[in-house]
Amino acid sequence: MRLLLLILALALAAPLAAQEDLRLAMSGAFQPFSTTDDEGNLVGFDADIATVLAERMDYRPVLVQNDWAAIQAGLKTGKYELICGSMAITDERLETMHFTLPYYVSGAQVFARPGTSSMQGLRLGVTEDSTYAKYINAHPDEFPDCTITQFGSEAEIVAAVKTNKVDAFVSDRIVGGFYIKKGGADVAPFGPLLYEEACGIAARKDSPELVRKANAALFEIVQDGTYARIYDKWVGVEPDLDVLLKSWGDFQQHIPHEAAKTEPTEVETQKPGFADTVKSMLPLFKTGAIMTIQLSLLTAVIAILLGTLIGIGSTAKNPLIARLSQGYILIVRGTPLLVQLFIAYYGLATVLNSAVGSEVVTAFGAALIALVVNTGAYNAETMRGGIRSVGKGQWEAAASLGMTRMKTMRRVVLPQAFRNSVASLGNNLVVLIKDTSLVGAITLIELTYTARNVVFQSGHAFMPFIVAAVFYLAIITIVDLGMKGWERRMMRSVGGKQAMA
Amino acid sequence: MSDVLLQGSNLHKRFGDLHVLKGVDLKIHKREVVTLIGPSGSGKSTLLRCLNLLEVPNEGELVWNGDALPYQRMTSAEICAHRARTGMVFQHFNLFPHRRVIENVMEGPLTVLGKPRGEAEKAAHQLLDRVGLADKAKAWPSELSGGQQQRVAIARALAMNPEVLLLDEVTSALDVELIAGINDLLAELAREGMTMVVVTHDLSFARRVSHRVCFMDEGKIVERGPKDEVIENPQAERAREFMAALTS
Repeated sequence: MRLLLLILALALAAPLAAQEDLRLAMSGAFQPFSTTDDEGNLVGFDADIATVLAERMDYRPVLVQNDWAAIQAGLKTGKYELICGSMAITDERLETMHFTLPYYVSGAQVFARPGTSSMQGLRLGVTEDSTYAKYINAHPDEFPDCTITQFGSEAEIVAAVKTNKVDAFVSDRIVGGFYIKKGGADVAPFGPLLYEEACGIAARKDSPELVRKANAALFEIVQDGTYARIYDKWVGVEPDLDVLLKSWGDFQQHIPHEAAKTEPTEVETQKPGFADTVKSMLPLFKTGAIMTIQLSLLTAVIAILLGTLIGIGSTAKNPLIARLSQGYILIVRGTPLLVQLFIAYYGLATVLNSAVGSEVVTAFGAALIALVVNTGAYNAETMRGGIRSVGKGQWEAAASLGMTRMKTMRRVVLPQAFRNSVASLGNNLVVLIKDTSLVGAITLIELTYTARNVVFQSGHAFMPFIVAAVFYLAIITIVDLGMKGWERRMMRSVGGKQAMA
Repeated sequence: MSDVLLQGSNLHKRFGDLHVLKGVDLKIHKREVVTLIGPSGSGKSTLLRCLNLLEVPNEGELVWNGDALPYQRMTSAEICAHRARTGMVFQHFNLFPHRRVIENVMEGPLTVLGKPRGEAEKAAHQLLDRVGLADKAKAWPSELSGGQQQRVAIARALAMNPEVLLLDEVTSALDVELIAGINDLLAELAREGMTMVVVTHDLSFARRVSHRVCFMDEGKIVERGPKDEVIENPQAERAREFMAALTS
């Protein structure tokens, strides 16, 4: 009976579902344009515009949240049909995507602490893969001696300002203003707009029809006042429609034409080949790989020491030391590395730096601390097992010779614990190398982050990740061979059979 | 000064609710070989391990060379020092598997006595020669037979120049054909005047090597005396039953 009802309901619902889905992507991290509400739904200016436009185009709107750095890759691989996410129209982006007419005009603005008198030597934050980042790179003379740090979103930049990691940042004037108000960071607009920019809705090169429909819908909502209402709701002021219309005039030449159907193949051939891209990006990958290797090796060495100490501590006779060690293992293994990275970077580093009065803990330092603490806990657990697996007879034999507990640990138990744990320690090391891919979240440019940058710069949607994967595989294979060699050396004393112990 | 090396009086040892030693008196004279026999669980090994403080007694007195051993108040360094002068050999050898044979023998002199490496190595070679393993110095313990491993363990204990050797069922884990070799070695040590306390089930060894035999049952020494009396003609009923079972 229930099944019958279900079928009936589906049958009734079917006609309603005839309307096709139109998927529109945005970052959800760009207030007030796109953000998420208490229930996780995408809301904001972009979200409302996307919803209204899709409805006017006779589609059912489906809003998709996608990481900004990968938002173009998602479009290319068909995860959604349009990006309605405050994407500035640039010549470079026009080469790989179609854009609708601009749906709002804003500009890039420097925000700095009150009292800042010049740009000289500022520590500057900027969102990765943004037009602002490009602008700064292209105009070094406007930012004399500035150190540039890239962040994942405006929210993180505001956190970085508050924790004194940067002095100033460049962002959209509306967005920046919004975050300052909301996040309470002590900065204000500094100097005039760097440049104006117009944001459009991006589509794949193979869907000019969608762009034309969107343009018609955009025209419609500007005419009937819907646009102004939405703008006022989110930005807080009436839109300057003259500026918007002028930007439409400037954009005329970019409106896709009927013949556009054949464009995709042309574009493919115009784009530099993948081999060329890899060749030109190889230095970037090398730099990224060096960062990955440096972090991994440093962490590996320190985390073995820490893991051994905590491992010994967790088997200690002193209940306080044992409890503390076991608590450490429990807490660290029970929380995600990404969270630990943020705590180390935004919390620990900030506290230490402000206590000392200079930047003693850099982003690299914070990453090292988090990785050491994290891997140290796994190593400690491994070593604990290794120490436990050394038989009581070994302790007694050493004791009967008159060796102290500490000497026994060092000379008899630890060497055997290492031997028993070497495979598992090697495994921890491999996991560590892959875990370094997370440090991009605190502005360190390692392999994975490099690949994301290359995706953005080259327009190749996923091949840069394959290159990064090959690098990881190479590093891990070498490490693995090394570990196997060490393991063989450690195992020589056991020979073919297990020692009597 | 008397010739008593080690004396225990009214020794008690409990593991939680388990009362393993229930008031044991034992006197070990210098150059004497004393054998502890008795059924499993009677407390022989525990008594032996109390003598070098591998287990700390709960009650009773220990006297070493005329001086009281206040084990309840001794620092861990003092306990280590006492263990260093009392060599012990275990049923399962407990060699250090990650060290070569010669390193096993050198470990104590190097790390506990602080002997220079050259001296320790020379002494270790002599000891290995003495236990018949001169050619195995560079071998790993895992490459040796059980009997050979036990010889290394004896050499390791002797390397500390102990004043007494405590032997805990040292032949129980060995194949029959290997036992004789170890027993010969121990007999020779006894002849040379090494003081030994031996826990064993091997009556023939007790007969051949020891001077005195103590029979333990349920945490007490129920019979003691010259080996012939205790082994051949025990007075206590439990001892009679035990000897009969072993010799039948």
